[in-house]
Amino acid sequence: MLSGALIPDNNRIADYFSRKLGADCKTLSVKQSFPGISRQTWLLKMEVSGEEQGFVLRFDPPWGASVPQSLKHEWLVYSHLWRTAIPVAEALWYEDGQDFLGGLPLMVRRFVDGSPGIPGLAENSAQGRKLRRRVADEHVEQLARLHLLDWKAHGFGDFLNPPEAPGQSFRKEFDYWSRFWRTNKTAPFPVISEALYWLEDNIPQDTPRISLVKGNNGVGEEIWSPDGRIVAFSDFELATLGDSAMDLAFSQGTLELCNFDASIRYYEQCVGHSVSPERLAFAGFWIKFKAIACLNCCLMRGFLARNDPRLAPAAFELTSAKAYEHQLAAAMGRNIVEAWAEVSGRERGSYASLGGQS
Amino acid sequence: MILSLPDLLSRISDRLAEDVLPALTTAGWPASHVRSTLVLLAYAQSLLVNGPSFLVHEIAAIRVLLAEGKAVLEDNGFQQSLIDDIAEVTAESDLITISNLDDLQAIFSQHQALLADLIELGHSAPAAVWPQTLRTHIDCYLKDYAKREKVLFGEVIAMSPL
Repeated sequence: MLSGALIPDNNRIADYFSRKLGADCKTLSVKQSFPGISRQTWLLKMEVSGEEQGFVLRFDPPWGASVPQSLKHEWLVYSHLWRTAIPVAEALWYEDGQDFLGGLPLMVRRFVDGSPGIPGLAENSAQGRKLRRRVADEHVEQLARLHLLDWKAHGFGDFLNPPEAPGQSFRKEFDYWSRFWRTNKTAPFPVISEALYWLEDNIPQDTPRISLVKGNNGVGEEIWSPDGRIVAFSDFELATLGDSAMDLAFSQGTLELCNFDASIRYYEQCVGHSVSPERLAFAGFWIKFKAIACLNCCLMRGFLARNDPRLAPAAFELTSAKAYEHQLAAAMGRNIVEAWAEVSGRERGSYASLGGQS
Repeated sequence: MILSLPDLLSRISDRLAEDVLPALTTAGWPASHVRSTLVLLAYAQSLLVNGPSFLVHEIAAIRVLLAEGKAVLEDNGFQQSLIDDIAEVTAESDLITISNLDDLQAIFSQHQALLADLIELGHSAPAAVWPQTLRTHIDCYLKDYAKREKVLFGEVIAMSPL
């Protein structure tokens, strides 16, 4: 079974959905979404009382997710966002301890038409360039809408534990993740030990407002239309309340599709406040540390325990995590803004390079 | 003539990259497994060729640092357990005689753990009793280490496992 797929057979899926929806269901097709590194995601086509409907089943495999946050955390973000104007798929239900998937926590949302990839995005032509520009602008606009959302009014503060004040956003983030790293790393990493002290010395306090931060975002994460519009934000496993600059630094190549600096200037126009070089630089290096923490403490830990059947976690440890560690080693001890200026805008869009075939 | 292990790994990589990978859909788990295998083979190759000399060099460099750190710890009476651990590893016999990769990796991990502890202790100590020179030495070592490490990971890092 590829990537340790755990999906039950079609009859059991139909039985489960019939029970949950209170209607006769038949399973038409089942497909695993690729890559699905963070959590297993399955696309289901069902016939519900004679009508074809699409669903997305998301659950944590037994070896664990690639992030410390629970699936329930992600479910709560989805279900709260569904009640806002931010585009997301309708969150239908969350369940823990059921017999359908052996008790693994799961959530189901409605399928929306679109794809995590965009055909033609990597095309070397005038049309390709135009599409990349549209995608970068669209992403900026939708991120700005998310960051300006009145999270308090929509109840996000009830489960996301906001910082005490905007200026505390990065401090809170630093405390949570550095504690997670120290507790869960699989080996000693002197470079990271030193880099964390350098990062701590550079924590910015000029966050203008507390925003709902998506976490990993961009092409490969959201559901896109073929013409480069976001149909639905997707995958909220790292969502938090904090400084929105973290999303700008975590677009996985999407804001670099044209010109990173121009995308940031456009974002500033959309949100109505500037992004200081200090916030952007800190967020940039911080995301690299956070990625190392997730790759090592979650993915690599599962691989070393021989629970995770995929080879990708070990390969990620030797590629992405090592590359980020080297970048931190080259930057620490220096002025963080100057160090970031040498790194920013050079992100390669690993998802975009897949050419929209996922 | 016996085929060397690096050559064997190289031939396996070539076949996977030239014959197997192109036959697979780009975005899917079968291709991901093959790409990840290529990454791991590249690393294994580099480890076999460059690993022993790299590890001997690194262990020697960390030992020098730890010895400097130990002197500071004794002068200021910081954590005794760390002083004892450092004293043990810095008193080891000549490492050049060790050629087994597993043993070298185990010793390297042990030294790295002590260096990480030394860094943590250095940052928690009052600035007045923790010499800036040692912190500078550590910083220089870590940067040089990362540069040297690119020899091990250089080709690997450029490969995407997805």
